[in-house]
Amino acid sequence: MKRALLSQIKNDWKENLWLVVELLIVTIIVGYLTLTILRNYRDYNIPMGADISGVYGAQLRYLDDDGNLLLFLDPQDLEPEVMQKLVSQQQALLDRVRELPMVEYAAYGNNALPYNYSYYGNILRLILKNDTVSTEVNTRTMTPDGVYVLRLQSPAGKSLDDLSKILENGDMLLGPSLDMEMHWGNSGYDYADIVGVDLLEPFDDRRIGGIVNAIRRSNYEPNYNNGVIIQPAQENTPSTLILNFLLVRVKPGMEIDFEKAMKSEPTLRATTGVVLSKLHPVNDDYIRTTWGHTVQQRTYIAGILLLLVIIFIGLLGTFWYRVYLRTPEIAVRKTFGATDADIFRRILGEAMLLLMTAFLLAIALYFIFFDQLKEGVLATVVFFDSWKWDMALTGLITAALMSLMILIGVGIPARRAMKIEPAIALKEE
Amino acid sequence: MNYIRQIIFEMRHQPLMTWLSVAGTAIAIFLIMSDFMINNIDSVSVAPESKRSRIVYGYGGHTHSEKNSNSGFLSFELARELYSDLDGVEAVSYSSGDPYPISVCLPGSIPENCLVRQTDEVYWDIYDYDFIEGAPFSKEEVESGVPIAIMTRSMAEHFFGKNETYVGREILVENRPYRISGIVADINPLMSNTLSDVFVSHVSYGLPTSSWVTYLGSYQPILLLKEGTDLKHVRQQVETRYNLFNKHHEKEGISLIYHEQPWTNEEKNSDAGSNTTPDLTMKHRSRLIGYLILLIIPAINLSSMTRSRMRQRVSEIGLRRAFGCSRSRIVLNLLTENFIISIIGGIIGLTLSIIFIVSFSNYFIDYNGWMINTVAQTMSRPTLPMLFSWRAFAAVMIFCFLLNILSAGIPAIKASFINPAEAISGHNVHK
Repeated sequence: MKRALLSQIKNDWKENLWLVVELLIVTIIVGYLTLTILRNYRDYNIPMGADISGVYGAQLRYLDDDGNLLLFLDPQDLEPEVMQKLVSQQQALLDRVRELPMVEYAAYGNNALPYNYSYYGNILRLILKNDTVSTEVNTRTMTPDGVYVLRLQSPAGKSLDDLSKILENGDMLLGPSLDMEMHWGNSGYDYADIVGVDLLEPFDDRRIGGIVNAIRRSNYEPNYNNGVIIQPAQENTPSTLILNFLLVRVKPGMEIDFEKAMKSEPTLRATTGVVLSKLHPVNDDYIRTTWGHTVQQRTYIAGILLLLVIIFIGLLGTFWYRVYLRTPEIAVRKTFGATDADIFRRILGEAMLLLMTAFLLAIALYFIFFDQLKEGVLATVVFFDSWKWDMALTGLITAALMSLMILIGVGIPARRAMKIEPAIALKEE
Repeated sequence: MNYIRQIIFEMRHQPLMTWLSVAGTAIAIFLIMSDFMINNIDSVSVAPESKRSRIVYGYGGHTHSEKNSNSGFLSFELARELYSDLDGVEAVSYSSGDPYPISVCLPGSIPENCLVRQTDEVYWDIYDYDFIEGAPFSKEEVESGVPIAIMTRSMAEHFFGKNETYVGREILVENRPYRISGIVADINPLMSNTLSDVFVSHVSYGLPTSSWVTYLGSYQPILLLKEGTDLKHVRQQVETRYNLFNKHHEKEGISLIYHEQPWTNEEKNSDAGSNTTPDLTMKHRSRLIGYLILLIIPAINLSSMTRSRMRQRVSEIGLRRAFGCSRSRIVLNLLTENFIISIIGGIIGLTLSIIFIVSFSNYFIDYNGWMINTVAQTMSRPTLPMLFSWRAFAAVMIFCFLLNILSAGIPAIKASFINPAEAISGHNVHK
């Protein structure tokens, strides 16, 4: 049976060669897209570090008495009376917002929200067990209630009250990058070693008070290399004047009421002093900044489906034609006792063997170009040191999808072959 | 006419193979044309960017020193130093680089976030906005800093209601009063160079002329080239000015990197930023490889189907050969018939791609890059005028022709070599 199958493939070698080329190209593309989808799925499911449901943001600006924007506000440069006036106005705004019955928590922040795509960062340096460790961090600043607004997540199981207390005490919260976590884990450190450690320049008067999940910039952007440092600012002090965002958590289901209530907020219409603008649900930022990636995922899935349809059409046409050409041969085999199942298996076996050849070639190409792939699509899966599993899963999914197409595309003509009546087919022979 | 009769005959007698051929061609052309037309949006000329072939951009500035490297839009002074009074340039506008969301409202109402663009008077000469009411900014209005604004129709209707007179009414932009001086037709959000809800003069808005980084700021010069001007000639002049700037600032230890500016719209919309030089070669090569794959895969499929269809006509071809028909004529006839089938598939594919692009492509195509300014932009799709061009129709014909040659060339040549005697007797036809 196997020898006969191989002979049959050999007889149509030219056409089969083209089919293998086609299956190889499609296997590579479907495999690439599948791996990219898997990688993005993995990135999407890394904890975001903040919960934005029901969270609103609004931008703060400071205008002088002539209505000019104080663009680069450094509290130290202001006259003491002007500074005190701005601090009081800002605190009054926060108090008014907190008094609204639909508001759960309110705080001020700078670069505190996810999805704002700020690259504002610093180099974090600290000494761990006599080693100086340095890493890039995205610097986010918030008043202690920001912890409640964004519902920061502690991997060590600390409560929101604990985390808020840390900021209140003037300590920092560190959201390590995945690289940091891996490096520290490999070096035998744990979170307990890091908490309480004094920081070096530029944060040399601060220390790490606790660990949180890093507030990422987007669900699709993994925090492999960049961590997050959350530095505190205290309410009703000049330090809040460097904060440019009002952060509000609204009680569930009260979003519309909140937006209505905010219509009477005077700072939204102010032309001097503290001015509030661009009040919006942070979910809008999520949609804006992740839309492109979400659309790309859909494109990949649609691409896979269309390629499979093309393969289906090709296989259906090719094998329909082969069955037509082989009608007398199939009739003779049936006359000599071949069952319907034998005929079906022979035709399907031929296509599966071609797919297997294409698949093995694809795997060979993968090994040949592995180094280049590591720089590209495999970069992040290699980072996790689990690329073998990712590749195995990709291979399995690709093989399953391609086999399914072959089963349908070749199955239809194969069923037709099963129904051939020997007496009718051989009538003219 | 005979060709059409032949195809109708085949559709009746070999429906599966014929329809599979049409479907295979349609899918291939759908994929290729969707990509082709979407990429063509960057170069197609449509209002308000009808002069797109002559519009180029001084995209930004990239300063470099030993201590640091910064990039972004240009300061007003540097923009003028680099781009004013160039030979071969008809007009230069100094406007804000991108529109960004700013609070806009009616007096006494809650501010909303609208896209606001800061422009000068020349901007309105370069782009052909459709003015429904009022007029563009005049030079005097811009220079005096009088607070006037131009709005899109839908934004004006949103604030004041439909069927109203809008010119002369007041709005607040960032809480400062502006008088409406013009209403323009809505702009497709994909026209990123001209998109905005509100336009104000850059002087009245007080657009910062420079930022914390010396020489950089918020401005992007927009250049309208004279008819027939070679872009290379303009680039050479700009490069000379960059060199002159670097020579003058040698002592400061600061240099300005040229990055082959000004850029065309396609270069501007590539992945390049203000600190990189756009390279379209790689992009074009990738697209060509993509098209090649999208042609080869269906061609392999269609080839076997074409063979199948021709197999049925062996006796006819043999008979025609016996009556003296030449091989070249047989090949030409078969290719023409197949080309008609390819064209039918091509038209179906093109129609599907137009329906797809115009109706719901925003759910599958990332038109706006990795970040967009408003949630409404997620719903933006090209309109029909943005898709239709002679290039698109030429491309369909070329792709169909290529697909036809790739899929039917070899089977047609083989068919022409059929031995008439064997073909008529029905022997040896499988070879």
